Amino acid sequence: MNLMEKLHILADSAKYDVACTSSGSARKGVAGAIGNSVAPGICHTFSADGRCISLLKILYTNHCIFDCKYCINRFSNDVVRTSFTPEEVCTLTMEFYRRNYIEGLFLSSGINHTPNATMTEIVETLMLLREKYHFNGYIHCKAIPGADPDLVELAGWYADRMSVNLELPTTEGLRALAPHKNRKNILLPMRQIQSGIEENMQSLGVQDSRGRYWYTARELGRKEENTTLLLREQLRQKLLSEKETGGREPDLFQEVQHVSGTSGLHMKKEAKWANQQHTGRFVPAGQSTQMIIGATGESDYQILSVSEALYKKFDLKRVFYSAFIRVNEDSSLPVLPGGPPLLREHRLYQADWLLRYYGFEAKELLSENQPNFNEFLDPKCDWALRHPEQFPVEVNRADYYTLLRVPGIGVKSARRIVQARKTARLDFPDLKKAGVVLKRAVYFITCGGAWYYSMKMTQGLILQNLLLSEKIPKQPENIRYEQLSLFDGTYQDFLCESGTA
Amino acid sequence: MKYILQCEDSIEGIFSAVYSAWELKYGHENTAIQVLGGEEETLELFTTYIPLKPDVEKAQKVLNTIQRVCSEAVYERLFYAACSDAADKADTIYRYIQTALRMGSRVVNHLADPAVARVMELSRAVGNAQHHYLGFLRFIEIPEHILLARYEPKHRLTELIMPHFVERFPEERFVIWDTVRNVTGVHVPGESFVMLHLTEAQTAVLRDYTEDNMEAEQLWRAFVESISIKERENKKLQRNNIPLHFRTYMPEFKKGEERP
Ligand code: SF4
Repeated sequence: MNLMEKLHILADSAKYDVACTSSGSARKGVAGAIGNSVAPGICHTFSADGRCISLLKILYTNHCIFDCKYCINRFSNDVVRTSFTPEEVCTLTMEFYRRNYIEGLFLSSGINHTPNATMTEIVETLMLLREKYHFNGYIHCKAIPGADPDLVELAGWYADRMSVNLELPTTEGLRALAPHKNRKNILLPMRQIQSGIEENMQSLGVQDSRGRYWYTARELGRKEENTTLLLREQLRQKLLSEKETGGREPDLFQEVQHVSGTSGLHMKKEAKWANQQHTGRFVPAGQSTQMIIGATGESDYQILSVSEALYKKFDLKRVFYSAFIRVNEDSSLPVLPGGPPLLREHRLYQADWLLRYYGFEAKELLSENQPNFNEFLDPKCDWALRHPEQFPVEVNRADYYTLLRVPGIGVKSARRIVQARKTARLDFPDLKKAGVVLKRAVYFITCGGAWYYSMKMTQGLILQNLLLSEKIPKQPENIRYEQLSLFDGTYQDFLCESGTA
Repeated sequence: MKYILQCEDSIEGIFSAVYSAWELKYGHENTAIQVLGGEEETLELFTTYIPLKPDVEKAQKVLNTIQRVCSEAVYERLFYAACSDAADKADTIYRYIQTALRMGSRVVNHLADPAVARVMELSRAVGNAQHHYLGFLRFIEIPEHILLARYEPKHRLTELIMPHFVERFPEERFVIWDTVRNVTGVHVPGESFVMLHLTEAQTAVLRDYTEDNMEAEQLWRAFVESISIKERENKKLQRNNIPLHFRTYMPEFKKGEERP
C-alpha cells in the first residue's frame, strides 16, 4: 500500500479524536533543528466540518485487538487495515511542517498485538522524529492503556502533551461499550503522567504545565485534594533525598536502560533529547482526555462531575467532549434521532469553560433534580435565571469572580472593568466599551445603583428576552478560535475545541 | 498655509517623515503627513506639498526616542499601525507621537484621544492578520530545496511574520513573497533575514514556480479531506473561521481536484 492510501485510512480513523490544540508549550527554535512552539497554539486550516486543524492527526495503525463497540477500528469490523512505519510518520510530519501546513504531530493508535508492542512503536517514532530528524515542533501522543510505565515515561520525555482517553464517563458505560478496557488501566497512566509532570515542575521550580482549573481554584482559595497534596509531598521527599545522596544523575538514562531491557528499544547515551537539547521537560503542555457524549445514558451532571474530578485530582489541561457518531451497526449503541448531539456537546464545552475559568462548581450548575442543561440557553444564563438571589451585581463594586458570573461578562470584559473602575465610575456605555454584551447583562447588573430598564422584570420576561436575543442554530456556527490572555499575562489558552466551544 | 509631507509607504518612509515634520517647524497644526501611492489625491488649494525621501537614520531616531520616552508597547503599537493599509495611518501616527511624547507610556490607555484610539484599532487589525498568516501561509518547495511562500496580504505583513519563520526554520532557505507590494523576505541559514524588492526579471523567475516539486500537496489534500467528519459537516463554520480570501495559495482549497 502506498503512503497516500495509508494516510487516507489512518487519518480517516483518527478523526474521531477531537483534541486539536497545539497550545501549552513555548519553545524556541534551535540552530540545527527545525521547529518551535508557540504557547497559544496556531490553527493552520479548518476542515469541512469547521474544526481547526493544527496537527497531523493520525493513527499509527488501525489494527486493533480490542472490540470497543463505538469504534470503527474494532476487531470485529471488516475494514482495510494498515500501519505506518516510523520513517513514514517522520516523512509526513517533516514535509508538512516545512510547508507550514501543521504545528506538529498528534499520534494515536489502535492496539496491535499488545499494548506494549504498540507503545513501543509510538516511542520509536517519536525518538526518530526528535533525534534523527531534529524535529522541535509540537507533539501530542497517546499513552496506550495497559502499556509498561517505562514506555509511557519515555514517551513523556519526547512529547509536549499526552492523553489517555476516558472514553465513557462511568465504569458501567465502559463495561457496556468497551469490554476490553477498564477504568483502572486508563487512570493508571493518567496518574503516572501527572506525577511525572509534577516531579518535573518541582525539580525545575516552575508551575507552567498546570491546568487552568488549578489556577482558578487557587485564586478562589479552594483547598487542594488530599490525593494531590499527598502526591506532591511524596515527590518533595523524593527530591530532597536525592539531593542528599548527591543529586539525581541522568535519571532518564537509567530509565532508558531499563526500558531497553524490557522492550527491545535501545537508545544511545547521546539520545537524551529532552534532557540535552532543552530544559528537560516532561509533557510540558500537560495532559488531556476525551469522553464520548450520548453513547451511554449518563446525564450532563454526571459528565460534568467527572470532568471536575479529573481537573481536581489529575490536574488535566483539558477534557474534550465528542458527540457520539454511530459508525457501527450494533444493538448496544443508541440511535439518536437528531444525529450526533452537537448542541449538547457545545453546552458541555461552555460548562467546562465555566469550571476552569469562572470558578463554577458542577453542583452549582446542575443537580440530581436538574441533571441536564437547557439546550436553548447557555449554561451561565441558565444558572443566573435560577439564582435571582445572587443579583443584581453592582459593577462598580463586585469582585472579579462575581463579575464573571454575570451573563454577558466574560474573562476579558471582567478584567477591563476591574481596571477601568480604578480611575472612573462606570456607567452602561462604559461597559459596552469594555466588551460587555449588554443585551444579556442588563437584567443582572446595576451601575451606581441604577438599573438599565426602569421597569421591573420577572424571571419569565427575562428568559423570554434572552431567548429572543439569541439565535439557536441547529449546529454551532460562530465558534471563535480566540486567544485568551489571562490574568498573569503569561498563560494563554487557545480556545480551539474541535469546533465546539 | 498648510503643509503636506508626502512619504513613501514604508516603515522608514513614515517615521522619517515624522522626523521631518519636527525639523521643518511649520507648526504641528499646519502640518500633515500623507503616504504616496494610494488613490489619486485631489490637490488642495493653499497647500504646499513636500515630497520626502525615506531616510533610515531619521526614522531610527524617532523609533529610538519612542522606546526611550514611552515604552516597548508604544513602539510596537506604532510599528504595527505603520504596516496597516489604512490611508490615514501616517498622519494618525504623527498625531499619536505628539501625544505620546507628552504622556510617556501612559499614552496607550488614553483612548479619549482620537489618534490613540485609531492607532490601537489599526495595530489590532494588523496583529490579527499577522496571527492568521502564521497558520495560513503556505510554502512550496522549488528547486534546490528552497521554500517559497506567496501571499496577498491586505496589510504590509512580511517584516512582522519573518521573525517567526526564521526562528522556526533556522536551517531552511526560504522566501516569503508579498505579491501585492512585490516585496520579499529572504532567509538563509545562519542569518536573520533581509527584505528585498524584486526586479522584473526576478519576479518572472519566481512567478513560474507554482507547483510544489514533491507530492506533499497531494498528501496534504488527502489528509484534510479524510480528517473531516461527514456527520458534522458545517461549511458556514469553516467559512467563518477561514474566510475565502486567505485560501488562494492553500493547496487544500485548490479548485479542480477533489476538495475537502
Ligand atoms: S482500543 Fe477500542 S477505541 Fe481504540 S482503536 Fe481499538 S477498538 Fe478502537
